[in-house]
Amino acid sequence: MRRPIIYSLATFLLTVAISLFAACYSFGAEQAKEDQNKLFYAANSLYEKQDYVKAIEAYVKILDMGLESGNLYYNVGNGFIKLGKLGYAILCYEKARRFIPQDSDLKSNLAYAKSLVAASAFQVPSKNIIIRGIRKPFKDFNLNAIAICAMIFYIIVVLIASALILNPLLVKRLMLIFLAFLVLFLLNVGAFAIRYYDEEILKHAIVVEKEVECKYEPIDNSTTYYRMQEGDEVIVLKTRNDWRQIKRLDGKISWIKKGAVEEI
Amino acid sequence: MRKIFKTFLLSCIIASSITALASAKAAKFEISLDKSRIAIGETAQLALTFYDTQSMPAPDIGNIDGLEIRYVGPSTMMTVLSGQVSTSISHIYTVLPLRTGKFQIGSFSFKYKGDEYASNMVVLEATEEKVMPQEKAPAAPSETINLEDRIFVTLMVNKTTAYVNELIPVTVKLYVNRLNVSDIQLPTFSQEGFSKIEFKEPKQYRENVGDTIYDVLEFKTNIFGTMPGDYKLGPAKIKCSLVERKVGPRGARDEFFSNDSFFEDFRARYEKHPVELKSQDAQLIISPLPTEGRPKDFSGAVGDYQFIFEAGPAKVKVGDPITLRMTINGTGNFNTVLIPRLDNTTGFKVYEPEVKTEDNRKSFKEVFIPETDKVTQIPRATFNYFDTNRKEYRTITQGPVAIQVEKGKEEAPSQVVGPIATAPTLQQPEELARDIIYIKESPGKWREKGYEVYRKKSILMMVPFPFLFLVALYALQRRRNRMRRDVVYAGRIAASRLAKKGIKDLRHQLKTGDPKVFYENLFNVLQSYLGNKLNIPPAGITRDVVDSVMVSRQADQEILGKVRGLFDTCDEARFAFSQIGSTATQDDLGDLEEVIRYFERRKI
Repeated sequence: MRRPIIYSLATFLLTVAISLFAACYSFGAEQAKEDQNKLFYAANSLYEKQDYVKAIEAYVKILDMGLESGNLYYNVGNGFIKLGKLGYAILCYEKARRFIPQDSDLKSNLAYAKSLVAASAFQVPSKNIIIRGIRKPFKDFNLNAIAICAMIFYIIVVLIASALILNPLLVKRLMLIFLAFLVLFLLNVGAFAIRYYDEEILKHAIVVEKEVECKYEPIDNSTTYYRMQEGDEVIVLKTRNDWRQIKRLDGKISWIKKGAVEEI
Repeated sequence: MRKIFKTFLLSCIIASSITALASAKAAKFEISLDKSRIAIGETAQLALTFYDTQSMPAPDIGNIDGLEIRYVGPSTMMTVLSGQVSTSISHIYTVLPLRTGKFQIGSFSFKYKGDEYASNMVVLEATEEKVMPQEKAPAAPSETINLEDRIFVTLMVNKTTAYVNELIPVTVKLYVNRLNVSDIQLPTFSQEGFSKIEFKEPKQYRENVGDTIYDVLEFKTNIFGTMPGDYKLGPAKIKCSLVERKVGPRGARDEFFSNDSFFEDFRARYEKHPVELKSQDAQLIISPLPTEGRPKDFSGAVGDYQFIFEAGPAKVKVGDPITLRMTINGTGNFNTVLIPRLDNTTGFKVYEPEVKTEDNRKSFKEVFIPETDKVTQIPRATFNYFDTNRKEYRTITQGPVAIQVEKGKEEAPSQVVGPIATAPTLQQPEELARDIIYIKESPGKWREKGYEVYRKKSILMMVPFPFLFLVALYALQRRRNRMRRDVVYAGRIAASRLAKKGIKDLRHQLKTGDPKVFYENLFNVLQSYLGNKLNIPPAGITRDVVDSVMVSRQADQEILGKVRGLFDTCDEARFAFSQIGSTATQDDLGDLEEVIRYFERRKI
């Protein structure tokens, strides 16, 4: 009499699992319309003709339509480099990195852009060894891929746990596999939490002007605390009128003109 | 997705490797005899000691031709040394030789819980004549046995005179006879005038002193005098706890034996009495090293040493490393052995030596880099020490070692001979220009802005379901298991279910059926319900049985009355053939429902 209940629960779980996979898969599917693709190729043609301003305008039109991709941001970054706008170029490459972190072209161009700007006057403290350890295996994954991975591990852990509950005789055979997947799942969740905090909670931004004065107060004639160079990375804490309160990566907090930084 | 799969596969392999490594275990197992030579008719004690376990059962060691071996019992020991807890169990056997000769016992090997145990081998010699004990008893047994006879510490120093820096072997032994001892600490003693005392891991064995067998814990170390003078070494002190076993109701009675019956084990409690045991002292005279014949660069090495000197490769280019290995072997105090002195290292860049100290060996590895091709040899090295056997200073000189140094690559152009046109040109490292990599030709995967998986509500809502499924499955499985094991519980659950079905059928019969059949079924429902609920076979449910059970369980009188009434009415309708009206059947069905509700509510 109890079996049908277990079977219906199992069917339900399977449905949820399939729905989750399907949702994740469909999510990654192409959503582009013909128009966006045409516009993209047109922008590429303009770039080839070295009309970088118009090429960037065409790329930005796609962004205004509400669609984005790693390759799109990469191409915009290239356009800005050609125009000598290194701050904006680094900004676009950083945006692209959130989509295609494993892309070697992107890594190369970002490194090249950073090599062209003046070196930062401050030392960026290295991150905690545990955080680095958790992040490292997933460094080439974007946040979406990490989330999908976590869901896959989650479903596998639940399926193995269900098998263990239904048939305790499997404990000897499956316990090690279960623990391995549980550890992987927890690591995955840890990596997701760290990356989510870094990319979604902290508002990273890039200095887009050549040299910017960072003030003690959001007032024009306030004392300059320090100067920042184009391409430097900061974290935006809050916005007040035309000013933004920022934290440099070495922890020093100051106020900067709103247009001098752009959020990634 | 391929990358995801690769990372996942790699993680699985790493996880399984770690688990496999963690499961590997080394197991230590030793066998020892309390006497190696006995006369025919005498017995020796054979101890099979397993370390880091106290659960090892007595192994079957089989028969040895010419020996009669009988199992006596186990003896466990736990030691706490510098916070490290180590445990062991010894299985004791008596060995009786049946003929004279030498008998080899062991080596034995066993497998237990996946660990492999392999022992050493011991030899027992059986003679015709009685063997006199060689060692004088530290505590001769007397008629009145004191605690000092059952547990004591001895200090043994192999030398009474020594030179400064000369190694002096020191042995501290803890003897225990039929006492439970725990929390044994490392021996301590005053070390004024001596080097720091560091004991090695103790050795455990059994020793026959007089006619008494002791469990012995032997601590060994080497010390050396740092200043000349007359010194008193010791007493060596060992802190430990005596474990007293007390059996509950019989009150406090000093009883260190543990041979009580099985049932007394349940009443037993253990009390620990910390004690500090002291050994006798030892006198030591530390003499200064003689000044006569002392080399100028004597570093304080005392002992008996050999000096090995190796250098290689013998043929190098300028800037290439040559490794020089100098090894001092022998016996003595390696703490005072310093790197041998090299004559002249001009023309070499010399790096800090890598020093490695092992048992009876100290090695120095030094890297030499020739800075010019003019050097032809690794210089000579001299090592001085004081030989304690010959009581004189000795000097060992090794080297020099011939080497051939060629000019380095950077000087190659000067070696060019012949016409300039054919001279090889030195290849300069290629300087590559840098620029950005070209734009992407395809747009890649489009994504709507702010449309991430982890933000999609439909996905987030589904996330708790697998976990809830797991919880539900666990609860269901637990219930199933309980239903299988707990007959009373299963009966109660079945009672409610069957009663609901029965009442439904009775309602149907009220409208159409015969009252006699109705009461027949009502009786069956009541009987089956009460039987399952009260865990009594339904066939055994009668008015009297239910009455007595309900009274004993303090059921409500009104309900009791209704149950009695229902039984009576059913009997009347089934056997007396009396006519019963439809109103009465309705009331009786109501009473039945009320009784069932009461039982469900009260959980009787």
